[in-house]
Amino acid sequence: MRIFAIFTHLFFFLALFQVNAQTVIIAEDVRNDRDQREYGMNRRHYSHSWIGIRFVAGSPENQGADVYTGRSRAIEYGYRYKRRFSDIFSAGAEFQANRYAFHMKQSDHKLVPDPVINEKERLVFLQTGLGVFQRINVDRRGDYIGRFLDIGVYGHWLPHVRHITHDETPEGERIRIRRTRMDYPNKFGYGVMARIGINNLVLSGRFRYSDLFTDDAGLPELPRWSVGLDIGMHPF
Amino acid sequence: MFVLQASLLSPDATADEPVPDTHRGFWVFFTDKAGVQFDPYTFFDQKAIERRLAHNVCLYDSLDYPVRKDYLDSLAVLADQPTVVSRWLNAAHVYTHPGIAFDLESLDFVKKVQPAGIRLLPAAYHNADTEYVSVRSRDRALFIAQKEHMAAHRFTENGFNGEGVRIAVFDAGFRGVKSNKAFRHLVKNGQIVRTWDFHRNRENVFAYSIHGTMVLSAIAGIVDDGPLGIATGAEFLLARTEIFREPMVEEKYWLAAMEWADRHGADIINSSLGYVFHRYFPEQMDGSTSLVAQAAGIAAAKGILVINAAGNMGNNRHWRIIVTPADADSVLTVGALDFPSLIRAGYSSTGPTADGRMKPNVSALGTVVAATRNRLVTPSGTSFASPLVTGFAACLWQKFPTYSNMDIFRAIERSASLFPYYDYAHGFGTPQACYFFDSQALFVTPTFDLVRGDEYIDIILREYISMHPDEKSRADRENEYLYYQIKDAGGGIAQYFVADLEGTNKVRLPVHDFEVDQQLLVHFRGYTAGIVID
Repeated sequence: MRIFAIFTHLFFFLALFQVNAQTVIIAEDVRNDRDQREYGMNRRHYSHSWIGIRFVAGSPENQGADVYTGRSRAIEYGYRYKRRFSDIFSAGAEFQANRYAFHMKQSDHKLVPDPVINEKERLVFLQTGLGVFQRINVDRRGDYIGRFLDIGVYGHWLPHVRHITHDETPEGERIRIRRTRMDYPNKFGYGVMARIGINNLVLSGRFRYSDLFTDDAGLPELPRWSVGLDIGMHPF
Repeated sequence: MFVLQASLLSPDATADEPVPDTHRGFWVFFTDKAGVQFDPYTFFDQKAIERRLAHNVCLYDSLDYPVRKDYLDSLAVLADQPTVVSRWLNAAHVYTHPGIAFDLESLDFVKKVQPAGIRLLPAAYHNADTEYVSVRSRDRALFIAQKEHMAAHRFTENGFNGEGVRIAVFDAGFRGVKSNKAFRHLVKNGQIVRTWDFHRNRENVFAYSIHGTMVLSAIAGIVDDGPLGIATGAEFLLARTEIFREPMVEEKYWLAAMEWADRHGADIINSSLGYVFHRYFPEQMDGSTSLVAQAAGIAAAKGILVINAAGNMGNNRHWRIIVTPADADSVLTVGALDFPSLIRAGYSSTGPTADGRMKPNVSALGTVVAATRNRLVTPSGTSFASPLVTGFAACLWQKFPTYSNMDIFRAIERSASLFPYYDYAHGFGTPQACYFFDSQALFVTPTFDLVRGDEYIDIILREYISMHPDEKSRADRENEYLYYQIKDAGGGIAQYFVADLEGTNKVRLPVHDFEVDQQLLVHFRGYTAGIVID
């Protein structure tokens, strides 16, 4: 039973009619169903939220910025609007927020964010930003997302960065240090993105053109590539 | 020889080679069939010829003529070998690169090129397995109701079991039909006349899936406790058209199976599938847009009664309409009723069609006791409502052998429990066999009065409903529902309601809530009456 529709129609029904000791089991207003809609997965307008995870890919450009690629990842949430222009072409904009953590390898060459060797160390970037994209759909389809390729650009703002280290003193005491308000991260960034998807499942990749650290800091750049999986929060 | 080679609808002529990833399926429609030869007496099964003669359908219908071989040969040079060729649509399904496909449209003999491939939604809702081979006591009420809700005992009492009627069943596979004793009579008596697996191009369909097995059992199965379906004497053509692992190719199989069923003399086609949002928009559910709806229309024109499940999209708020090919005008579309409430099951797709036509046509129980490979189960879905009506139709056709397919179609509608009242959830209600045997069933006495006052319209029942719904027997429950609807001046239903009455004999509706020229139509206990608001 379409619970939501039933209760909506039941409310409508009760508002219109006096009912004498009867239980309305089905109440359908067909007029609403006849409306042509502009909003839908393959209609003119559509928007949906999404969640995703991306992993750092590739090597850093310079020595001293090595990260653990498996553990260094971004957890993302976003909201996407899509405007359909034809069966093949769409364009859209999206808001996204993520928590991007780089787990630093501890080696003698390490420079980011400092040369100090710790037991464990990570840089966490809390980012929020906007992106625009062009979508190319493959195959004729009905009212669903289908197979697609997105190409786009994004810009982000880093309102908060944390530097977290874990160590153990000679006495065996475990120490966790969290530093914030550092002056070496850049506040803004930008890059390009690409996605291929089938309905809810999307493989995404990003390349960050901007540097994470200021020129004054003189730090080697962390890996620029990331790839991952998004899940569109829409019915199918 | 030419005719045989060109009849690629016959599965042996289809290509079955791996398809490159860059290739997509396309339907290529041809301009004409000029110059082809056709001999119906060698092409058709004798039963197909008899059906055509009985229903005054021309034996030399150009739709049955083969597709031109020179066109197919030319097409094979430019694209891959056709995988399916449809005589009815004068088209071939090919795999090729999209860039090449649209170049084909410039060929003189090509009318149009259309991307193919539809995801199929088998209309089974869920499948609750049991471990029992006989009907469990708690399922006995359902076992009885799946036939008696249509008063099917009137057929069996009078010796009608679908004998002489040939039914084609399109499904995903018929695993266990040869081993389950529920089908022993079909195998032993040679009632399974032909089979074809349209995916693998071979005869064996007795594998892959039990969905078709359950559907077949709801038409003609027999277990120790009695028959599961009522057309136990019918003949069957079993076609495997649905491939769960490759859901984008079934449309072409369905089309090919339609023509195969026609060629081999099917009187009735039962199809428990529907195509939805993967290829279409709700506004395209108009009975003429989809290829399968077009093919269903052609089959009906050739005298075949096509019975299709309404689909299981009823709970999907993004698809509040019937599916295709159930949207086709000449397809008898069957919705599902919940058991034991006997009103529309939540999953059952509702009408109307995009162009405002009434669908579904009738309803039947959507939950049945059905046979699988080695046990009895109680699956739900419009998949299982459809075969119940198919069995009903087979018995009816046996009783009235001179009726045409559309005569049977209309007779089933007329016999239904709500007729002439209908709504977009139940159609005309559940077909009733007693309509064809009891002259009394034709006479209906008024059960309520409509009283128009200045401020209110009162629906006053002639009998006071005193029992609480929970105390009613199942058989009575459906009879206690009050069905009413508000129709626009143009005749379309604007709103419809089903109410369970308790402790009252009057329903009062304010006049000022109606628009001028709207009509209130009410149905209660077989009696239908209306009033126009002036």
